[in-house]
Amino acid sequence: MKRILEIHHLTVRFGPRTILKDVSFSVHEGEIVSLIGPNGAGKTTLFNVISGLVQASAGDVIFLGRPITGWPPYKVCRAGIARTFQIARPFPDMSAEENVLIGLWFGKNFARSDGVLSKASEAAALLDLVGLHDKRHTPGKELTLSEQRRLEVARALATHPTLLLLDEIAAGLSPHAVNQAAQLVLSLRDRGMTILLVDHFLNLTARVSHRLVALDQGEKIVEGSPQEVLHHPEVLSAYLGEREPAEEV
Amino acid sequence: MKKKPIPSFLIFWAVILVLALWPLVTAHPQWVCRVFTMAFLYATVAMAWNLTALSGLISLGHAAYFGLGAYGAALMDHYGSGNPAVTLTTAALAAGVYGAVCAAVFRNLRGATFALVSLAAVEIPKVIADNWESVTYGSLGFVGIRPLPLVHMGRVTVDFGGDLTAQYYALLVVLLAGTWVHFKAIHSRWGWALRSIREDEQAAGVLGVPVYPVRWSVMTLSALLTGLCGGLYAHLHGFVEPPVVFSTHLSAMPLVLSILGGRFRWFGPALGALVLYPLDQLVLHPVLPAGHAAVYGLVIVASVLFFPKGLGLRKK
Repeated sequence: MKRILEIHHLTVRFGPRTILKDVSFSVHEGEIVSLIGPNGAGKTTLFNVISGLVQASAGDVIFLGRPITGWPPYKVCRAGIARTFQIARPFPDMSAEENVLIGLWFGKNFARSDGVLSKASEAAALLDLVGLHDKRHTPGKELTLSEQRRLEVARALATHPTLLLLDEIAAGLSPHAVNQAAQLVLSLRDRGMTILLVDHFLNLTARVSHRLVALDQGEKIVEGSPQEVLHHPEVLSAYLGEREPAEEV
Repeated sequence: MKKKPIPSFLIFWAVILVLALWPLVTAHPQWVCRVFTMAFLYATVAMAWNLTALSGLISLGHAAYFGLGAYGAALMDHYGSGNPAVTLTTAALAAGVYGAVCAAVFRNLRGATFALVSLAAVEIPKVIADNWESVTYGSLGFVGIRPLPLVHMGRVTVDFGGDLTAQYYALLVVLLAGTWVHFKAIHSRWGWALRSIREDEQAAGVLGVPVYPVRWSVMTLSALLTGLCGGLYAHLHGFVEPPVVFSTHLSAMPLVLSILGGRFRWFGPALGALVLYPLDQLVLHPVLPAGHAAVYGLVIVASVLFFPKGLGLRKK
């Protein structure tokens, strides 16, 4: 199977604190891989490094065989990696539709001229996919938490990604909305999308993932099938005996 | 019966039309022409300033670019060529280069920190202009900068240096050109990039918007246009001195004019300038020669409180 993403010996330090320590793993084509771990394990930081928002102190991120370490976010996006944010950050004063259009106009298939300022049908299809068609004229700031999360997914898909990074799309949602989120992830998998997922919610990750990578305090402790990883003694102790968590960045 | 309000941009075009025709059809006192000429100049400065603001950064230091433009033109006029094509290019480049350097050096600063640093950035060129006496004549400044030249168009000769009506039309053209740039910074793909950066730059970045390149280039363009206006100012007035062309008032004015007219409308800063500057100079100045500038302070308070989205738009 083709390797989409390879993380090689990645280390991130902020001043004296080591957030990620020598983490390595890879994601193959068509796979759903989940990063799990307690608060402060470094999951979100890892996403930030991949998407170019945080610089790695050492190690490499390889995407489709090309090192992309240290690229600015827009280049990472145009190479084919899209992400959502744990705390949803829609453009507050743009409508849901305009939020999606930004991804369409500037993402991987970006165009250089003003001639692209239409793609409304593509935007409508994406909003349909995440069930936001009725809210397309609602400003980002007026959407509910669950709607904002789904808007983030639609907006990320608008950039035509090869790899989708989903950060805690189920956190803080009602059981019903968690189910919707799981359905959405599964439907994306069926469309052949490769997905790297961060979730605290083991119920969701175990249900949709092919493989889990468990992190604790910035280090990878184990990697494997959901069954293996969730019953691994170190994973159990990391979750049950949650130590004083370092601040999530 | 409910009447539809007249769209503000129609009012803007109506104002422009009246301003374009008025000197042709009726008596036009030269001093009124002069006031409007300056209103056109400051309207252009306001739009140049707003280019930076559209990317989400409020600058309190555009006097740096205006002053550098004015000094760039004055120095070139004094030591080199007095041809306005040369002096104005020098003015734009002097400010543009400083703007480009500031945009690069301040790339990680946002909000109040950026505003404070931009305010401080005025002091560097100002102190140099004030103290490098062998070159800039220090606090005396330059006097006798050559006026804009005679231009021969076919058999007609227009004196842009002496004829205030000609200057009036020249600056009206500058205003329209500035309005076109400002229009593009809102209604185009570039405008959407600026808007996404303004609303959430991290989200913009991961959606493929080149945040730093877009912001750097718009800040450089903003400085360049402000410098060009500074150069025009030098030729229109014939003298420059540090406290005038680097004054805090010049940094604050574009902000006041833009907020009054509406920062997110393509004609907003221009409308603000065309309303407030003539009002200040023609109505308030004769009545309150000492205190008329206070109106700028009042306007900022009133517009933030009552119509934060600009003249003619109600607070939601």
